Amino acid sequence: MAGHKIKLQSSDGDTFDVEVEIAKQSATIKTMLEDLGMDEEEDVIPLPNVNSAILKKVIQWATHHKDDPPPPEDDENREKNTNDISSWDQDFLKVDQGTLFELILAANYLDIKGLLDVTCKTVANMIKGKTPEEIRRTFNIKNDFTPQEEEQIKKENEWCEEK
Amino acid sequence: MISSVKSFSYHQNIIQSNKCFTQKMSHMERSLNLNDVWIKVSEGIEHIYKIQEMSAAAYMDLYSQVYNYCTNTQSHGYATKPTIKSTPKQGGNNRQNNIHDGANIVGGELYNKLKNYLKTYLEKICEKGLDLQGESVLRFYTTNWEHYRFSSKVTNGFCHYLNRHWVRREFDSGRRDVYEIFTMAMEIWQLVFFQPLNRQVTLACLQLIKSERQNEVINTRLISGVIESYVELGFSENASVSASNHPITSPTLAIYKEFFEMPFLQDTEQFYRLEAATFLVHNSVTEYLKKVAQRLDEEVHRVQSYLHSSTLAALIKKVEEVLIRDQLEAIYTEAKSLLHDEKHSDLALLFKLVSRVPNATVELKKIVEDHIRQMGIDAIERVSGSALNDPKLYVETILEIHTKFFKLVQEAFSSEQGFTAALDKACGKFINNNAVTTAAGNTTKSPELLARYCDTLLRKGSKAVEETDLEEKFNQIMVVFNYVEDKDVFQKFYGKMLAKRLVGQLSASDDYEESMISKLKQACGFEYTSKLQRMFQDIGVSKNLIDQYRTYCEKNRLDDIVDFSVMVLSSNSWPFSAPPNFVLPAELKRTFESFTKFYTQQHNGRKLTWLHQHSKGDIQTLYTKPKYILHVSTYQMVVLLLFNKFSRWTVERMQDETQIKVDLFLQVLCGLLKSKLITCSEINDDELEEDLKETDVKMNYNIQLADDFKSKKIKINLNVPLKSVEQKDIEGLHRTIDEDRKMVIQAAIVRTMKARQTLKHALLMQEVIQQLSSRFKPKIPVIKKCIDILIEKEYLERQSNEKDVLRYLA
Amino acid sequence: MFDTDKYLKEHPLLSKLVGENKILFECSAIAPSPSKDYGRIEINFDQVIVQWWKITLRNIEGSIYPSEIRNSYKDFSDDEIAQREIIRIFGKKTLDYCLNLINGNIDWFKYLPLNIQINIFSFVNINDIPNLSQVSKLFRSISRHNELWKILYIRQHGYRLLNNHFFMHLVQIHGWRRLFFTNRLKLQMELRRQALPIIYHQQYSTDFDNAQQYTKQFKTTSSTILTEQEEER
Repeated sequence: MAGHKIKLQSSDGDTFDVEVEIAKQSATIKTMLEDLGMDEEEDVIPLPNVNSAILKKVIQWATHHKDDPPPPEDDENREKNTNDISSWDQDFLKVDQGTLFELILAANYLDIKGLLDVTCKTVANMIKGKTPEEIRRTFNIKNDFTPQEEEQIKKENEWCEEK
Repeated sequence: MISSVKSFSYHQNIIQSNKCFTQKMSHMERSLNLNDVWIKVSEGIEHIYKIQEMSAAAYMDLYSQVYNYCTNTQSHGYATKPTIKSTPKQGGNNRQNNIHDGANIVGGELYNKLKNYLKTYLEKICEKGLDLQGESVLRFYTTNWEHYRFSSKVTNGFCHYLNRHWVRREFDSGRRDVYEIFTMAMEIWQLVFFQPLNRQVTLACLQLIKSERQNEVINTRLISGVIESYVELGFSENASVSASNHPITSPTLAIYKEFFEMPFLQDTEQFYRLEAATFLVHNSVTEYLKKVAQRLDEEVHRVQSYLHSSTLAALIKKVEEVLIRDQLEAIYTEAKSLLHDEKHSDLALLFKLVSRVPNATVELKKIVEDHIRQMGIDAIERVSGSALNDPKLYVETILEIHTKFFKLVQEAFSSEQGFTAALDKACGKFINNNAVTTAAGNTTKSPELLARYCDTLLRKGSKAVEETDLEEKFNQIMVVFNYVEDKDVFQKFYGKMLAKRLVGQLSASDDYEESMISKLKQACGFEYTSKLQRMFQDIGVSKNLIDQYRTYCEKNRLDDIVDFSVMVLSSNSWPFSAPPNFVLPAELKRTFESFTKFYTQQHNGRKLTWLHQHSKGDIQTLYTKPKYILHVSTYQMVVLLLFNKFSRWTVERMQDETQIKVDLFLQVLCGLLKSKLITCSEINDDELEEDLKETDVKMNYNIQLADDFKSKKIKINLNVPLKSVEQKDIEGLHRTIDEDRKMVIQAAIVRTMKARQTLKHALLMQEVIQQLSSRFKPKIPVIKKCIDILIEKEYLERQSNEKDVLRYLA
Repeated sequence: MFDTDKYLKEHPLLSKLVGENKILFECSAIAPSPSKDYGRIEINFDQVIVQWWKITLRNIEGSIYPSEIRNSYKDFSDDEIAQREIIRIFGKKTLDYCLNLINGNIDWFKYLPLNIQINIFSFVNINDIPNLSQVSKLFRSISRHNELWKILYIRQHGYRLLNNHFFMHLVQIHGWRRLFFTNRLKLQMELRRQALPIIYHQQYSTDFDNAQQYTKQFKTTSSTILTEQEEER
């Protein structure tokens, strides 16, 4: 089956030939192929939510990871370590914030667990060890607490840590 | 002032209405969004449920619609949430809120819309089917099912995102009435389609199956479609929340079992009950059984081709019950006549079917056992007249039966253990109890005849038997031997006859002898054959001994010794006893003395007892022309040598001189008179010709040597076994068997009691019987007697408080 | 200047989340007292709209009408009046936020679906979470979300207790976060207390060493208790 290819079409009309096994890393595509029992050669699969640039990156990622073992079934065993991102993935994810989020959304939309996790870990790494103000600056988040509320939360957190 | 107040309130109004507007906006946005999505999704569903086909583009579009809906509307939710609680520790209500802090996940409205859509859609279709029956309802049901199932699968696919997030979240937070879209679709089908239609659908399936059982060709696709649907409709919610990847429902067969399998099994029972009854009226049981086998195959095939595999066991069990178990009486009767007619292949089929029913072969085994036993008894009865004295006929009759039924067990019952056991039981019974043993008055006749048969085979001159054949014969003998209860009797007779063969040098071949002994050893163990082997060894040792004795004679220049050979037999191993004393003639005395001297020199402390009754020798008539050589027994020799002293003797003096016991002496004398070597003036030729009895010879008669003795042969064998000796031997053997058994039983009792110290009477009996079963079957009165003997000898005592408990006395 | 419209066309998934009304930021407020002026800011894909009403008790001609400035991103960054009004009514931080936005530093995070927000939070260290909850109301609500704490609980403590009916009952009452911080021994005592009224009235012991053992006993009997309860229902 390795040779079989399908055509994926981005929202802006570009078509990509992708090996079926690579495309099936997306649970969404996998389910669809199974449900419709499609003749893979013929049909073009449009992905109206993914544009050409992102789709290209997604295919690039999936091609690189095509021989990875499937991710563990249980949350318990899922890697929580965010320092284990391979250097290839690190380079791959050196993109502007918006694009990183777009990749996250694409992974979520296409249901590619591995890509979703590695992108979310990358965002988590941007948060870890930072003060609230640093976090706000990183993501341009507006502080919508009143000073009283802020006081309140600080107290609460102290209480929380005591516990 | 007034106007400014007015204007203030005016501004406030503006602001408030503005706020209202924005709030309304977000609500409308949301519902608009749902409506937009719903328009697209419902169009998609309508398409798929109608056309049964969907392009990848349409599919991905719908997936994206659902995705957009589920992701888009949630982000604004957080802003409307109540602000922070004043203290973290508060009542239960606040805790609840804390748990569900954060935005809710969107999807419920879409889920409900889908649900309602499917419900309405199915209700409309279902109406058309309500009045259908038979194949048309099946066609209606399965066609719609296949469409619905496919469409629901596709719908489930493009609602993947909804399943993955909203459904999952609802389930995890404890809701148990939401399922993944496909399962939900199954639930709707069950409610809307299955509930009103299942009666007629199931009924139509059963009718179709009935037609097929009546050899009509049916469209099985109609049934398999229904079965698939019933199977797929069964599911149950999983109890635990645990891992997020675990499915929230798991399939069960509940609906299939209740709405199809149960009525199907009832139908099956009815159908086959009727068929069995009608078929047996017009056909033989054998024909019936062929039909049953065919039916069973058909039912297996039925399950494989269009039912659920879980039904196989229950269905086959039901068919077996109705067609086999409930007809067992007729089948058993048929088994008897098939056995009688020797129809092995029919029996094989019968057995195959009967063995499907638990415990049903027990009766069949009994039937087979009884049949074999009866056939055995009959066969022996037919030959009993001659078989009593014809070991070959007896054993071969037994073997014929055994071979025949061994083959039966092999062919008809696949040598199944239980039937092999039945064969063994039957053989054991008829071999140990039959017309011949009844005629002989004891069960020990069988081992005796078997031992005799061995003797005829192993004796010199049984030339009819080829070498390879003989090995085979031995194996057959062992077959019979294994069934013989009184193996000790066989041992006695075999031993006695082996002794005779060895002493008389009558064995056909030492190899055969050894081969047979090793077979017995294999069957009964070393102890059983140890005596036989010792006998064998003694013969070998004796040959060496004679050589040594010859050199001894030469060395010591003992040249006046009679040409002499001897067998030295250990008294424990051989079934011989010392004869009564008599006077050894001077001619032999020196020889015997010199050998005794030689032997005691070699083996100090051993006592030699001469077994003259088994000895023989040659003497030559120097007084005749030609000189005859006579083969004679020691007794005959003793009597004849008397005539070296005097040529005339009275009977009384002869007896007095020889000291041979009177009755034996008279027998020997009669024999010699008949041979005409000696004559008696008081007895005329006529009496001699007729039948001379010992009692006819009186003590005062005169005996003299017949000088004019004439014979055609130069070598004359006068050594014929003495009748009385032979007869006594057999009687003695039976007596010693009983005596030996008592000793063996006593030994077993003592052994057991020594180990157990105290034991109940009944248990002791059991133990003893079990211990001895390999040698013989001890009779209960004999065991009781042995116990009494041991109590008398103070080996045992009865417990004073419990009379049935025995105690061992050290 | 940053072209939001173009950027979002290149990022259709983000674009979908931002919504069709194309508003990046919308906010209204009343200036700090003594002023009672009302103001509103809206930033869409190419404009910054600032509206304000001066609220005064004196009746001054002209001032009762709302003022509105509609600027392109570029014009707004140069428009000192609009910026001054924002500082006056909303404060300096809001202005900084707005200037960041029009320079392309859009706070995408808030648009993400909740499951992704939770997924991201699940990868930070536990001691980062207090900081996260101080960032904004959204961050606070995510950092307290039950679903997040369920993931954290399972990563920390495993599945071991998840099949325990009483434990799941405690989850329903207290939520995963509470149980995450409840120490082992206390949790076991709590579980025991739940089971006790039914089975171990007499044997109540405060000996902590025994707690483990009680938990074991409790576990093995829990299924029977469950069925009894169901029957009562």
